[in-house]
Amino acid sequence: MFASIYSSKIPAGVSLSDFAYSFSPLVEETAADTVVIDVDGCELLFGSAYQLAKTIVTSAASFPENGGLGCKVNVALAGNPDSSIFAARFFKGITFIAPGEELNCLGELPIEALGLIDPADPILETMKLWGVRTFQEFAKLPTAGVSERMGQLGVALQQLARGKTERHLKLRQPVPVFAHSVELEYPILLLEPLSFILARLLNQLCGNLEAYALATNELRLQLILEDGTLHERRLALPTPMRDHKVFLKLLLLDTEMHPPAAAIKAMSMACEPVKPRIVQNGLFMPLAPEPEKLELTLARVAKLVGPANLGSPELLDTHRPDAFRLKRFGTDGGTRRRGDAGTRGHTRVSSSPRPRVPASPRLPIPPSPLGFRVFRPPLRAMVETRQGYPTQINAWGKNGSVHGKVVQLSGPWRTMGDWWRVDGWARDEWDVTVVSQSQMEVFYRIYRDLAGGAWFVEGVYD
Amino acid sequence: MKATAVLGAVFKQREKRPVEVVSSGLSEVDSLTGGLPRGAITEVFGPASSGRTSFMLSTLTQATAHDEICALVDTCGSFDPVSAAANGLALERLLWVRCSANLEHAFKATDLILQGGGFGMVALDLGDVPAKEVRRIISSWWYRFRRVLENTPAVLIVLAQDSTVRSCAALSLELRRESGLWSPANRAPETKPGGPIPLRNSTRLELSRPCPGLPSSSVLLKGIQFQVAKRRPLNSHEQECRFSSATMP
Repeated sequence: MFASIYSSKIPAGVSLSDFAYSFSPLVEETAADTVVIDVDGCELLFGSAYQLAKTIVTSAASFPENGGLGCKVNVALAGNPDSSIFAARFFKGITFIAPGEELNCLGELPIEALGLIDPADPILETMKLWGVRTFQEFAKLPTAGVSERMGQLGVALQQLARGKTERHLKLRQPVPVFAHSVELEYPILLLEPLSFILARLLNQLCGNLEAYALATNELRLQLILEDGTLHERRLALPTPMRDHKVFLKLLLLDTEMHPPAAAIKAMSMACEPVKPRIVQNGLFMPLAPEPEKLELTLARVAKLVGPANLGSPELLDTHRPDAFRLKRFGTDGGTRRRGDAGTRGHTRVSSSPRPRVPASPRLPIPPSPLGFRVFRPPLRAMVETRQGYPTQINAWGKNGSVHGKVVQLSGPWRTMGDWWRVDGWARDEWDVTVVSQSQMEVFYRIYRDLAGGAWFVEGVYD
Repeated sequence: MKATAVLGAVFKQREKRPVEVVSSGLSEVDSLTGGLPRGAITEVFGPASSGRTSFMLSTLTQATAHDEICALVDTCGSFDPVSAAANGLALERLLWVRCSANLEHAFKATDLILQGGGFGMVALDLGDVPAKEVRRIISSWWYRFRRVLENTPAVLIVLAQDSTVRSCAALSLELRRESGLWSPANRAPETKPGGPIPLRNSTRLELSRPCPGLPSSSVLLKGIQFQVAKRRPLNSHEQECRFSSATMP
């Protein structure tokens, strides 16, 4: 059962919806002068539906200071919201429409009343031309004919006129808040007590996200410190998540890596709500780390070796030697091919103790050049030359040392670039075979810096 | 009777999955070794310029070409992305961890990556770590890795100068350079120092062809001799059990 409250004389500064919320939490704000409430379940508080309607009228007549509206209202009770709205708007006082009696009650209403739903509809004009004046006349028309001439909208309007519509109330949803804060009685210095507070905030935050079927890809943590400063951390996630346990571990790892300068007095946490990640993996897709687990693993490894030493290498668009940068590693970079049934083709199950390897792969793989190991930084070398060719190398550095006679060589290959910049390079490279004292032959790439004339060992072919 | 039943259940041969192997990208090596076993440690060792890095790049390239996510724990930071990209390695599917010559960090990072799961291949590069330090690695690390790997489809490749994984490795490959890598065309310099600047040649070291006449446990490929130093029989006991149970009436 639904009750509509209508008043055309609501005083300024008084909200009809606020008044309606004092009777039921399920309120539809149909218009500024009309609201619909769901009265099911209000019997224990207000008695029968009719008693509730009387209470509404009495309360509305009282002054706003006493929780009323300070005006008279029309209240209509009906089995569906639309019928109650029509009745409240056109009948004064309290109207009760029993289920199935909608057309009898509303039949004499003018057809223009349907225009309240959509005033700009040309269908109403058409019906006037047909001589249809009231709800009852419109309801008597055959549905098939109405559908044929007016389409589905016409049928919907006819259902309205018959009082046969079925719909839910359009409830006002409160604006979701994805931020929480807490002020502490005592400042926190250690990580362990902090983890309990963070866990509480994250639980609330993730609960909110779950209630709205959302996730987040950015967490913001603000710590107000004892010395009055603000310690702010931002946790960017490559994929939307809402697992509070993962968030807690990530935040703790981040706090360990970037500890605040003083004890924590208060904290607030907020997140950016986004749609959750929906992934349907193929049956034959190769294994990949789960994003949540991968984030945790990356955070733990980053804590160990430093964030600058972790990532996916990306070559730079330059001829400068050893030019690359480390970018954030992720598995959702669009680099994985989907739906490829043969992607695991290089793996097979073998039943023999000596497994056989499948045939050559489907994917074309370029011929294998030599592997190269780079000395970073390059080893400073003392090179003896004869007619410009290296004959003896003695190099040393943090990464190792090279001592021996050059028995074979190839070069030089001259490369230079960025000469217009301070960090330009120009060098002659050689590939050399060096025989050490233990008579082992090792292949190195050495180069001479043309600017300074110094020799370096860049790396070893392996 | 009851105790026997309980003990029987405890000591019952655990059902193991059949061995899965991945290709190393070198068909000759695959035919020699049978492929790199998943869920186990493969050790590759040899001196400098013996082809360890080329082998590692080849396996990583093969894995990334099949959409596997790989990780490289680079103890000394000697990985060269340029040559890796030239090798065909999909760098965007490679997680590179540089450990600044800290052996402990390298092992902890490897452990974290293996525990995290989801990686198809993990390479631990100890190639530049001095043999003295490598010998100090306690074997419990390898047992730990082997235990973590057991029920995963990941392949752990360990590169070193000398054998270090020992009994924990399912496959140990010893690499030795047998023949020179120089092509006759490149023996002479392309230009004299100070002379005209030549065009840069992308392939400066030529690789020799495989030659026959080697022992059955080794193969010579591109001047590098691959020799199986040790191979643990994979699930041989399980196979025997299976056959015997199958033939029993």
